[in-house]
Amino acid sequence: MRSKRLIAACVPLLTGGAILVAGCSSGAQSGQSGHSGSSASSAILQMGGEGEATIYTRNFNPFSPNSDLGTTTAIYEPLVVYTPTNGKYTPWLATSWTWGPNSTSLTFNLRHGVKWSDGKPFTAADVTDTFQILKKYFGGGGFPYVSSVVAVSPYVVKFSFSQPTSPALGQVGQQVIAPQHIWSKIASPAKYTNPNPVGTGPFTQITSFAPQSYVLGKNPQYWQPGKPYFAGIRYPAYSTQSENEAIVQGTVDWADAYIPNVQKTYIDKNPKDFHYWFAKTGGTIPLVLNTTMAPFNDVTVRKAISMAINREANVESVYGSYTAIGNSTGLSPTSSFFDPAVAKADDWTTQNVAKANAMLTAAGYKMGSNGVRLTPSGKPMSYTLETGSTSSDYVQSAQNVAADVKKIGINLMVTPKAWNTVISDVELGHFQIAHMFEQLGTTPFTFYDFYMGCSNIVPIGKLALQNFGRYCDPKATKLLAQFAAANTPSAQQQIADALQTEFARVAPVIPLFTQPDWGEFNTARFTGFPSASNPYATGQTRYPGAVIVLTTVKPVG
Amino acid sequence: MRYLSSRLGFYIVALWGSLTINFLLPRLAPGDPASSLLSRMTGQLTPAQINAIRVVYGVSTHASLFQQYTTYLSQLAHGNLGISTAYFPTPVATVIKSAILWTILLGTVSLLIGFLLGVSLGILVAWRRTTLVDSVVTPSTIFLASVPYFWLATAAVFVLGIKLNWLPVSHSYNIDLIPSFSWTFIGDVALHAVLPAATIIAVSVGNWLIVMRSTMISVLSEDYITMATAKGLSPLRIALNYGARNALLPVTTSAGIAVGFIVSGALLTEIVFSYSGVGYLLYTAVEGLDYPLIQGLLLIITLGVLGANLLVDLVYVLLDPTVRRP
Amino acid sequence: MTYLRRALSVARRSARAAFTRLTTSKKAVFGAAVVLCFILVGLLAPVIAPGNPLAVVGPQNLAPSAQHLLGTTGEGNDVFAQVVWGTRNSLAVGFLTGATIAIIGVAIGLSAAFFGGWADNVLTLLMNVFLVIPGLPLLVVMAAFLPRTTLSVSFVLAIAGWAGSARVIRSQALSVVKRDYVAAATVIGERPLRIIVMEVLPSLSSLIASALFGAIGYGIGSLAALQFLGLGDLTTVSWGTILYWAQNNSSLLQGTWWQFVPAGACLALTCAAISMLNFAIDEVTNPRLRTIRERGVRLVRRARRARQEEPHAA
Repeated sequence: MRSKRLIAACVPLLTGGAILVAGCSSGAQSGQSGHSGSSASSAILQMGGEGEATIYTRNFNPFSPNSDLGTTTAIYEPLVVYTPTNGKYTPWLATSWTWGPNSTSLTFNLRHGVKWSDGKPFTAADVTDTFQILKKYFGGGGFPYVSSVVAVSPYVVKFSFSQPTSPALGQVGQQVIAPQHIWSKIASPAKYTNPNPVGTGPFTQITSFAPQSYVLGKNPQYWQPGKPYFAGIRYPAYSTQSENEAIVQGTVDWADAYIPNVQKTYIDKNPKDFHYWFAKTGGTIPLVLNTTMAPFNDVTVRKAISMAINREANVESVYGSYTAIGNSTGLSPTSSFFDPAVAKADDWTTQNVAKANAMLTAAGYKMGSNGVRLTPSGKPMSYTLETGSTSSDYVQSAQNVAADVKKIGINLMVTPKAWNTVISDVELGHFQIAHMFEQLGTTPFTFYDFYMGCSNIVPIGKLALQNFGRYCDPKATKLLAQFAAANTPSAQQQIADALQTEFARVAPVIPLFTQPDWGEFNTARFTGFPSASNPYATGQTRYPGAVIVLTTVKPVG
Repeated sequence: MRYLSSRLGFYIVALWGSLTINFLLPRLAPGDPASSLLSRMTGQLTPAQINAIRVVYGVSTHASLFQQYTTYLSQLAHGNLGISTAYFPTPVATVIKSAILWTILLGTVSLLIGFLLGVSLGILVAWRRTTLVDSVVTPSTIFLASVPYFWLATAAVFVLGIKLNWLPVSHSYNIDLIPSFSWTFIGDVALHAVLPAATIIAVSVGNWLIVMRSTMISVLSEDYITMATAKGLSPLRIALNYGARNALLPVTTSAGIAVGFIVSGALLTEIVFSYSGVGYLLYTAVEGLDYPLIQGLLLIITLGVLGANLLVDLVYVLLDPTVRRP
Repeated sequence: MTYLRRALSVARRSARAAFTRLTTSKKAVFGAAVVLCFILVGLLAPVIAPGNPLAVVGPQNLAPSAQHLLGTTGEGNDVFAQVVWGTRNSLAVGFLTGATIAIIGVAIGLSAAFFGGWADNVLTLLMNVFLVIPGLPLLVVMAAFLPRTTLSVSFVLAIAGWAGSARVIRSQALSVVKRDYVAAATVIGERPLRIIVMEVLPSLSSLIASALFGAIGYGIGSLAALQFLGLGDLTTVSWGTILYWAQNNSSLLQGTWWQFVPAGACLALTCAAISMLNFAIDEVTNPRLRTIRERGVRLVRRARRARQEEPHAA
């Protein structure tokens, strides 16, 4: 019969199809089957994914912003590693550093005895070559203030800056270094995918590679003796949904995903082995207001809007209270620069609807007939609040904010758009209020310069890369210049206090909450993860601090 | 044959049309790929670094729209699909290559099984129109066909995957395994394909059934069927050789459109199951505004659908003798 | 004038016949009942679930209880209220899209059939191109670039979906257009628009109805799919956005099934009902699918049963 014939034909088709797919999509080398935990020395650490990567393309180019996971945390290493939980800079490929006068230069003493994974020694030439490549092929790599990078001797490198830049320690210091003997021979570093990387990091060997997951094996030449303590890391390509499922099922050893209701959804499934720690070390999530337009140029209006918001309820609704609410310094309370006295002194980040109403009325914003206030020129106070539609947490937060602000007579229409549109809007200044993401650096300089600095003001209609709200504060700008010149913690702290006071005075943006840094840890197969009682790093898997975790964690047994 | 050549001509026009739409669509959006990177790497890149990336991506192009269009077409003719921005600097063709075979596997299996199942059931309920079979099977498959793909898929994930843990719920194979030609691997691939394929099949069976049933009923009322019954041929023989054989023709023409639906269903299914196919890749490419990848994916999907339609036309020519004569 | 009277009487007669057949068809009755029920729910939403469905009414992720019939969402909204109010957006946009597609389909299909020649060739080509381009990928790409308002999503859905109805109407209209009375009307010199509306349209009424329902079903289903992917207007309450937020909240992982199941069930029911209606209309208008045999079998069965009961009566 026809149908029988069809069925008979299908079986070999299906088998053939499966074989074809397997063969063509692998491009894999032979290797261990990769079962984790069979014995301590062959243990493989299973990571969560990035939550977005659908496939890996064997791109281990350390200069590329889209390199596969592990490139900048396991294969390549920086000169120093900054730990946000304690504000320390850990010497890594550099052992010490000294500042030049007025923070216009920074000299690093490099570590002796470090070898690249192909056996060649690590020297100052690698550092200078890295920065040369950045300058030539990657638009400066984002360090426009670096005027020269010179190898004073084989193990001493001097950076010279065109202006005082004390935050440079955390910026150039955390740039991963690539080997000069390989990269100087590559004609087009921007287009090179670097399929077989040579690095100084703990895991540099590509044990196996498939588009859906790959395994990085131990670096035989690693400079920390005895480390790393296990054989390799596996990076699977998960979507957000399947990542959460894998974490909850215990397949993953270390991940940084947002799991709603984490105690019930995750911890309760295996209280002995499952742990979480959400360090509140992220940047501040602000409401950015366009201060070039009325009424947002009036500090009273900005503070009144801020006073209407119930930050605790907002954080509870969006993140289940896993993070800190915003305060009037604009910094996270876990920051080493945070000054609690300043935060206590000002009240515009504490909800007080009555006071906010009174402030607005006194300033001339009369309440209209339908519950919406009018500006002194008679316009109803109704504005758009835009944010990225793919960030459902920001959309939720924006809706909470709008509901709160309604109570003081200002109508905010939440308008989720694609992030590209939002970014385009804020860069060009064609927005009213935007619920934006964090701007975090290793020092508060980044945040304050971004939102209060006068040097980066760009008129409406032209592309601004910073200061979307276009607020210029001359006093803060002077303080920022002083901060950039100061390179000792005590000097920086003094200026940071003054900056916090100024921020609290002028409220250029409205701090809502701190972006949480997620972290889930499964101690069934590995121990030594960071935690609240041992905060030697955050739980983040993608950022420089991850290399400290990778060289601390041990397999069980 | 004139029929085939006219169909071929049509497909070429359709291809050109979709290429043009493909070219225009991403350019209608504001912003650029670098800004979507900004939203992903929030706070970890300084503004200067983002600007540097923009330079590298080469997004600041000043060519006119028409110039870009001709460049685009000539690059396509050379098989150059450009370089992806989300996976920079991997070429688009490489990115798609790793995903396309999974979609083909999933799509082909679902299409074939769905077709066979739907058509067989359609023959059955048409032949047994007045019995309980028809009044039970037909409404239940119609109901299944109306359930949204993604809801059924998510429910399947929850019930069969998470609660009962019978079947794997994500990826096309267990990531612990290295792809190879071993039976363990093939078995694993098959296991991971069960839920996604079953979801698509469950929803598409209804459509096949309805079409087959109505055409079969029309055919069964023809005179030659009555003649065959009168002659004393066995019911099964009549149903298959005379009834189904003729009813298959209109069903085959709708198979071409069904391929389009299967692709849509596969897209949603892949997203829910994180099945590493082309549909999920398209979804993430759209999020990241990766113009070259979006264009490449739309092109491949359209080519696939057009190719499948051409295949269906070939089958139709084989089945229907009246078309062969010019 | 006689033409008008004749056209109307043809329409009236076929409508009446169809109506009687429809009301006796179980599928049609079920389908119509469900759809009407949802329309009523949508219209009466302020009565059934007063208040703002987006308001935070209690703790998050509460299981269904007397106070919250379907529990609460991950943000503390009442699920029942959201499902009820969501009916409005889902049905409204679905109907709007369906109507748009039907109008475009009828206009283009009829024009292609009636005018023939190169106009037909061009329009058919256009139809086939849009048919062959895969729908959902096109929808995803379009929806991602256009503003996320209800109107633009509806527009996007119509652009991607009009070709199916147009083709079906065109092929049926082709046979109608060849009939005697249309030729007669053309010969007499009636204006083309008048012929189309008066002569051709009434004979196609059931097909147009079927196309309309199919398009509405497509509109509701595809809208939900787009919203589920996050490409719709996230600030509105609609069945699709409820599912999107539930997915975001990992409601299945958390076990809070009440956030996910009701909206999906409503979607499935509505689409199934419309499908049933469509199916019933198909049965009614296609004489070969008519249930004369079924009625005959029922009569025979009744007679047989009566004969079996006779021995007792005797």
